[in-house]
Amino acid sequence: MRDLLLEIGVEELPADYIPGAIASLEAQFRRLFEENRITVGSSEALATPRRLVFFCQGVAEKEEDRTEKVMGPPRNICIKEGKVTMAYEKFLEKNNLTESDIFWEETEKGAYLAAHRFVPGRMTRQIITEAWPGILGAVEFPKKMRWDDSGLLFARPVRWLLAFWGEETLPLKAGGVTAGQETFLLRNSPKKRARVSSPATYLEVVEKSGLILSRERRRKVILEGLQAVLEKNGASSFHSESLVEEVVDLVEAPFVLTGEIAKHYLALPPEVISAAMSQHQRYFSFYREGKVLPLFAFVANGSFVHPGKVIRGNERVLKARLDDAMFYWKEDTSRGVERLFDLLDTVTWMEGLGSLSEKAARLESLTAFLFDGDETARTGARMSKIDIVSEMIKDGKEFTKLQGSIAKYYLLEDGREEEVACIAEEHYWPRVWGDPLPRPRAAAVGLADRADNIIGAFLKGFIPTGTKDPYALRRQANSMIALILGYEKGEVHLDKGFDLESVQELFIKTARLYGAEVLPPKEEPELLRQVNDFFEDRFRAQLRALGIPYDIVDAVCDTPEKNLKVKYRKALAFKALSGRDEFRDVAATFRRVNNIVKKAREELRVEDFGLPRDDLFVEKETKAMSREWVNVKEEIQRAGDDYDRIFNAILNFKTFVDPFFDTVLVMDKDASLRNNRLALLQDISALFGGIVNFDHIVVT
Amino acid sequence: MTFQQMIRTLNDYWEKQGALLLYPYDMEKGAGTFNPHTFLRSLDRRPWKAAYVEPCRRPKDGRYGENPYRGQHYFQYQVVFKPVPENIQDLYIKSLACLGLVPEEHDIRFVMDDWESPTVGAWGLGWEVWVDGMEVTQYTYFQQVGGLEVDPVTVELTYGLERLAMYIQDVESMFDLKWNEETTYGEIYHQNEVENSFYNLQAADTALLWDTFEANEKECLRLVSEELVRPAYDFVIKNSHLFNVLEARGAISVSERTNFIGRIRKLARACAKVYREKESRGEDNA
Repeated sequence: MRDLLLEIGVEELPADYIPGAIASLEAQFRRLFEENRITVGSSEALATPRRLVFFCQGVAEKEEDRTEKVMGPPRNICIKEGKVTMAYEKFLEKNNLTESDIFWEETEKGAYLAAHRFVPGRMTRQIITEAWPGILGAVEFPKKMRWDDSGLLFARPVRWLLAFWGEETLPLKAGGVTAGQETFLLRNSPKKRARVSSPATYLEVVEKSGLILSRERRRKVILEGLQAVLEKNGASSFHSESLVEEVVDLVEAPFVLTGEIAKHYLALPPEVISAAMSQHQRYFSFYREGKVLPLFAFVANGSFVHPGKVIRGNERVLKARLDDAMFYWKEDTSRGVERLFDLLDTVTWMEGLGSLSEKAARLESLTAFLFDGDETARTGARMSKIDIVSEMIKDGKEFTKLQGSIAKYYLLEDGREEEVACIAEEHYWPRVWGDPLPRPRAAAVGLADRADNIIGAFLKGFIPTGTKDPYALRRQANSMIALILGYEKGEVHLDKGFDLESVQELFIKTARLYGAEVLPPKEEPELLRQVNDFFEDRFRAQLRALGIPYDIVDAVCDTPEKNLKVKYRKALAFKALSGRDEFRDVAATFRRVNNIVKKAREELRVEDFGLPRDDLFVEKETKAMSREWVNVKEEIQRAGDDYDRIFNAILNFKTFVDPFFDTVLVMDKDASLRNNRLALLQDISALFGGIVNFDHIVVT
Repeated sequence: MTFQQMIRTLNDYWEKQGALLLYPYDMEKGAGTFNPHTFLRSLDRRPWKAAYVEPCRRPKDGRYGENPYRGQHYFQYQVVFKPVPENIQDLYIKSLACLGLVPEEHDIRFVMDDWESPTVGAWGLGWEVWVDGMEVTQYTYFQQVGGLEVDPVTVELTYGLERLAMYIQDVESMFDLKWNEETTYGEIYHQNEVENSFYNLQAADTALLWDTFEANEKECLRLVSEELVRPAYDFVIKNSHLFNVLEARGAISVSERTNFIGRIRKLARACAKVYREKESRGEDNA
């Protein structure tokens, strides 16, 4: 048994490459050991930005010995006329067997020559050495590169390699580098390289040098450091948790330091200060009672005896960024909101589809439709895009992510109504299902905005296909669905959703706002068909994501119902009903009704069989069914959206339909009898079809 | 350390590493990468080690000389090595140490920043190098240039000289940098910033620039067809700069932008292709 240790030394890996890389490295070794029956103790995959390490304790010297059954030719080939043949002898020779090793294996096809052959386990050293190039090449990275003429593709150049098999160094290579006995330590420590001779000495040297191989331990050091800053300054929270995850893989030895910012920067919105710190610089900001404090923490790599220079340097960089932000803030606020609003006119929204100010006008008009002409909502819609032309947001700076929030601050600064300001911020919510939901007015503006984005993109032909969705329209549609259905703690909560009778109507209104020049009336139906199909697809996908079986989704969606909340309620009810024993039978029966009507329409070329007439029913089964049908219709009307009750009515009605099908042939020779029966079936099919389309239910 | 001493220090250092000390190219350009010493030389198979200062223009960054950190004209120090020495990262860190930025006292970090220039169809993987949180160098392993895979790979180190100098001299504005002991950067370049900012952002005659762009494009393609790579490539540089001025001037809409970048890239690719072909025929040995 030996310990195995591999260290692949690299020029700094991108932080987000690291977790995936070590997982794939470890998984490959575990698979190698398992496939070759090599017993091992515990293993660990470790990493810093400069190294990927795989360490495995107690690895067996060789794979387990085993015996293997080998099959030879059948008996009649091996023995002819009582004598062994060439085939027999060749088998023995090829497998290095003697007479005592062999036996006859009885099979269905007769007896065959066979033997148990002893296969000694190969040396682990050899197995690893052979597998290594494949393992190295298969370490997973989002992107790989070339850097020398070795042909190896890896995330970043490999600069050294350790491959200890106990105290022995395996003859492994990585690109132009051969495994050696030297590792690299922290760049700021006095000792930058060290000789090591085994896994144990390696781990000891590394531990002493201060660099931390374990991601968990680095995270702990960072969190403890931030906690200390938090306590020392009486802060209640820091921004942000997700930044910690990134910083863990930006350093080999985290060293938390703090710097200060001048108090006058606190005039900026806290989001701006936090963004200036976190977006590019990866600094942490601290909050007390919603207010940001005039300090920041950052994580240096390796400890510094005199960190003064490091701190001052970082303060300088941040000051430049905050100066930029302060400049943008003053430029924008001194110009005032109306000036920003006027600037919307100078910026193209989408080529050929007018300016941002035209978009704002469409949003206002759609919001008026969605929110009963409410003045506050309309103003919010009109002002919702003003920050796009602001200095703070335009041209993709670190503050661009704050689009919406910046508009809110500028509107507040301009003395606008708070609700109007909040609409500008919240109408982008939710970006994904589960994010906080906006208030109703902002929800209306958000629906209008996304409907407009979708229609606009479709007008320009940017229709999502496969993996191509340059305008992220699927996400836009998903947000609309989230706004309409509503949720709480991630669970659908229809009361929290926005009431919209028909998304299709919103799309029609949106499309018409572009005018006949952009959208000629004769092209409108095709455009809307595409948009509605796209949206319908998203809605069905969302229902399936919410756990509704796909056949129920199709059954409730393939109805004339337009209201998404109603569809959702129905989907939920029919999902529950589909658990009842009779459900599939009911579906089968009424699918048959649908099929007969459909087929008859095609065969007889009749669009509509009209209303059934009582006097043309002859058989008692037909009469009974027709009489009962009147009751069922009334019952369904009374049931409203009580789908249990509706289903019970349908279930009960099935007991009248079954005898009818058992005894009566619908397609009678007499055309008037036949058509009257079809008229009744057509009525049934239409009424039930308005509720749920049984055709989609999987019956078996 | 004055600005000119810094350049001399870097020259001395890279000279010791075997680099040719070269000079800037005599045309307006957005980055040292455009210099044929980098763009064309990264396309062939011959070894290459060079270092040079490159004055660069980014018309959009003009701030009339009022912003302490940003200007439409600035200097890069460019180092290119092919093939890449195994210890290149170490060599680079030692160059910082020559400027007084030793790793024992400063937090030197390599933060992932993959580089792409759609205008010349080039991309590479690498980092921005931070010293105490400040980006001072772009460090890139080219993978493609002019739409062609490069082999051997060239490594490019691009130092932002003003940034580095501001840090080393501890001044708050690039215009306060000491060029030498008597003269500041601002005394030499401030008025240049003011006038060129006016030109880039307000005064440039866009109609004239458009016409020139079209004419350059034609000329470039004609020269490519005659396999006169170097003159043809000059017109790529010219159009790239015209595009930058037109953009700063607000004369290019967002959707036109992609189209124009595509047109320049087409020229760059054509030059790269002919350069590579001539080299493989043994007709171009610089």
